[in-house]
Amino acid sequence: MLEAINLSKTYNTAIALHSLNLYIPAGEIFCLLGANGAGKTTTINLFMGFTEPTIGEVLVGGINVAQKPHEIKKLIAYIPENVMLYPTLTGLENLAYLSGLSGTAYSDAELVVFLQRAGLQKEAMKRRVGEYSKGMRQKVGIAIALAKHAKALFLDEPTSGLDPLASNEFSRLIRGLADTEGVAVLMATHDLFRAKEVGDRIGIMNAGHLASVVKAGDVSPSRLEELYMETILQKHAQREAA
Amino acid sequence: MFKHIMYYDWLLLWANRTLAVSVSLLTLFTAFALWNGAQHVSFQRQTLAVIQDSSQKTSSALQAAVHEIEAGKPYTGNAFQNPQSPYPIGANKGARFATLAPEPLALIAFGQSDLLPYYYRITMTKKQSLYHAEEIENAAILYNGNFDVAFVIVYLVPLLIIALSYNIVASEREQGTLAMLLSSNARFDSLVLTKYLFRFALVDAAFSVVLIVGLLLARVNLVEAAPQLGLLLLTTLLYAAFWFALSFAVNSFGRNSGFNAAILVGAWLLLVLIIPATLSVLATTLHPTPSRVELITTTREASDAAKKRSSQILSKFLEDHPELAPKDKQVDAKDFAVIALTAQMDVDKTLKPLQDRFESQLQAQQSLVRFYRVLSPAVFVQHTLNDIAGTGHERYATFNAQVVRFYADFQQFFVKKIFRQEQMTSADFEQVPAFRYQKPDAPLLGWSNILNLSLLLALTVVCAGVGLRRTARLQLVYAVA
Repeated sequence: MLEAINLSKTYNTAIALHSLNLYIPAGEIFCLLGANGAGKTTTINLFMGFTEPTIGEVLVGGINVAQKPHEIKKLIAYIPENVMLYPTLTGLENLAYLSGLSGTAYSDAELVVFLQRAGLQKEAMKRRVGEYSKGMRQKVGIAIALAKHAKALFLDEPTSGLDPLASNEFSRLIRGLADTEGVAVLMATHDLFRAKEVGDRIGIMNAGHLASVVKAGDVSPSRLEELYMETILQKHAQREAA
Repeated sequence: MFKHIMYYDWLLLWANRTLAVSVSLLTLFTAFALWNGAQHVSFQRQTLAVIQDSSQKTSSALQAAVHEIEAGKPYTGNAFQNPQSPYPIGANKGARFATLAPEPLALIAFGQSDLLPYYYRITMTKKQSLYHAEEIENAAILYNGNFDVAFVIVYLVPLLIIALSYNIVASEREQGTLAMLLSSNARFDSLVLTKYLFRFALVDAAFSVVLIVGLLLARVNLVEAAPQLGLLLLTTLLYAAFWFALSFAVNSFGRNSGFNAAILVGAWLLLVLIIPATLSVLATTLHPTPSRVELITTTREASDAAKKRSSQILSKFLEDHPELAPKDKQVDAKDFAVIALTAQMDVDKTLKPLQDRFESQLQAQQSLVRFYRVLSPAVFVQHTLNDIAGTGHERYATFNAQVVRFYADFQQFFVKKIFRQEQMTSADFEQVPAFRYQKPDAPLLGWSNILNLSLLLALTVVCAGVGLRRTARLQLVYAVA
């Protein structure tokens, strides 16, 4: 579903992403771990067509993103670190507006179902989003992805700032999307524990390189942490030596 | 999709009260401007009615008095008040009024009509009074204009448009909703364009409704004024479209709301205040009209000189106009009327170069403003609105030219009688020339206004083109930023 072929991105002289080769099939959750500036957000921006690759290709559902940036929008959904919505509209209205922009008009009853599936309490749906917590806004973001019937979902630090309960609930929803809807998920995160819990595979990025990829089921949390530290320290040492 | 975006834009505007405040202010300003205009035009109409009535009564009274004398009743009053004597009639009592009735939509732009008189009292001895009016300047009105509908359109509507549109793109970025919009299927440029079109339609529809209702309440005959009303609505539509398009172009550079607001308010200051004021200063500096002091001084000097050499002037005058000499008697060179009239005609002759200079300078001022009006839509929109209201300089210039011709005819009527030493008969009162304004054949939507509207359309298309072109690339700019 999602494929990066020899993908590189350079801003002026700074290399943000270097020769990324990655394939994420439908139904898989791929977690990108890495420090700030490792290239996680650049990878997501390239997949979403927000920026153009310097070298290489990005494919979503077999469609070249650079060539048909508007075509791939029908297939994807995006949940940023902070889902920001229109504070003067209710959760239901926000969902109606943003899902409507994707070309499908739903009845209120259908929209309520999407919000319920995303875990939003019914009494909250008709309250203005200005009164929502971050976790509630994230749930509206998931409802938007559900309403859009997205084939691929991009998450950029989605659980940052959420309390453990909300993070757990969020992870469960994402897992459900991948398992029941067959959605391919690319999630950038700093949270090793969450990556291990929700991901099928985990990629560790450093300085624009995808340094290693492991199956989440094959590593223990402590081994994953060791691997993460090794990758970062190794690159750090290489940079120091250079 | 358009309907969907418009509906939610409506909800957003409604929720944050921007729309309610903007439309309420627009309604309030337009209603007040219409009321103000209606009062002004009503005063003009009443004044003209009083003038008409008074003029008719005076003429009838004079005619009746002459009729009584002709019937044998001896005149026992002051010789200088004798209704049979043509001099006092032509110089004062039998004055005619040259009037310019307001057009049906005069109330929308009465701006400087108090500087451009809509009536003159015509006597055979006061031609220079026709040039005094231009100098009765109220500096405050000259600077601000009156609070009329044209003022609302030219000055205030752009500010409301700026308030409604300065952050259409920037606010999405600043409140963080841009990411959600960019990941939707909708094209970002189409979405932004739809929001602009929707707000443009709202402002224009609100203004049109308020205007039409206001005009009906002001008892304007909209059927009679249909062409003017159509042109007014078209001009407003294009002017509002220009400001929305300018806002679209500024927003498309992807800067923050504060920057956009500063640029748009700066553009408003430049286009609506600075350029028109500069043009006005340039026009009066480069082509100054002779001052009233100069006119009065020259008039006095010419009058004194004329009185001193009255007999020479009279001889010269009769050489030039032998047809005015009485057939069976000599001109009475000691006759007060002959002396006064001859002196007046000499004064008129002396003043002619000054008056010609006044006319040519005024023409030059107008030509300069007409030529450079392309620098500011506010100037040419005001020009078109004045034409629609019938308060434009062209109409006043036509009126003034007709008044000057009428003055000559009026004077000529009495000159003949005075020099031939003929008395006024009751039948003569029917023959005294009366002024009737002849409306020029020029169509309302003449070349000048077609050019104005075309310029406005061209500027709108250019700004909207820049906006569309740049907004299409904005998502990349935002993502990288």
